[in-house]
Amino acid sequence: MVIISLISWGFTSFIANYHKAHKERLANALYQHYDYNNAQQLQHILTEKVAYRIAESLATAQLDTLSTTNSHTNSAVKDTPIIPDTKDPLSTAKIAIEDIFNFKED
Amino acid sequence: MQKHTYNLILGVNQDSEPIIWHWDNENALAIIGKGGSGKTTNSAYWLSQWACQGVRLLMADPHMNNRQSLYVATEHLHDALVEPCACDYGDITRYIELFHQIGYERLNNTGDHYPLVFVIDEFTSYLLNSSDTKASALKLLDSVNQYRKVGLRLMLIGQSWGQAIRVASQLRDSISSAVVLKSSKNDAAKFCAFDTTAKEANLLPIGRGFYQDEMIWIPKLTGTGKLVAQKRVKAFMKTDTLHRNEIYLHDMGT
Repeated sequence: MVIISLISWGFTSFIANYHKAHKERLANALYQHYDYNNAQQLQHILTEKVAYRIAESLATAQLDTLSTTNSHTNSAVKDTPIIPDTKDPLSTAKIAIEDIFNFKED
Repeated sequence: MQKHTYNLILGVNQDSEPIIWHWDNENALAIIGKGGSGKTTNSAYWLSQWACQGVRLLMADPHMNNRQSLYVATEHLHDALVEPCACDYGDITRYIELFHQIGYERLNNTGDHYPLVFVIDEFTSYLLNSSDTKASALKLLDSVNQYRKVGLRLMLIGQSWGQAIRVASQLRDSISSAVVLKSSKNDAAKFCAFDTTAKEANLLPIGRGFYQDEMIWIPKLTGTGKLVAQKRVKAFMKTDTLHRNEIYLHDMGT
């Protein structure tokens, strides 16, 4: 009885461990894939946003009044949050954003 | 390796959507417009956007001593210049060679390439009056065709593109994008796909232009905007990258 229990426990734990490891590998692969795509996408979004915000900060009053429908406002852009990315090598983009938002006239 | 791209917002279209000039996809930006069409004002706005993102500038302006020149309009960006502005045709020719040389060096060097834009104001006058036009046009053509991938871009500003094209038709064909401001039909037609757009270009008010045959509203650089840009450029000057850039230029004997 004891031997049968030991064998079945060993078998079950082996299967469980195998599944756990497999799950982890799968999760890791998915994460990497997701992260890669995310980084590409994020870069695209960030660079456009940086350009957008820089353009706005250089010509703030103008953009609001130039458009025909007046729907292009500063708030339309600033309300969209920028997703922080800890692994992101886009330091230039970050510096640009921070500097523009913290800019104060001396 | 991931890299930052240096997109420009040229302006907004009539649906208020931003018109983006994609750094990665374009090799050059041509500006076409008569005198007083806003070439200088608009260029200052676009150049400020680049400078705010850390792009360095190489500038050639034959009218730099004039109060209304591009050099004066971009006074707040002078820290971003890698070399003093070239003002006579001989210097411009030398800068064209320098730009070509930088590109050539970069192709053979996998190091950190900082983004550099070569701006030539009154480019069509230079083409029509310089003694080395053909050689310069060929160097620029080579730069446009090859050096996009190493972070070099051209910004060519001019009036009489219709005439200048006779000298540099291949160069015009290689320029990937253009903004047409108020200009004659003949000049505009070289960069517009449709005849009707080229005709309408003659009637454009200041602050409007055509980009890929779509009308855009181009904002004007404000006084605060100039301060923002100036501060931003100074901040970039403090970074290590730019020190490396200067050493790089120094090593090349410039």
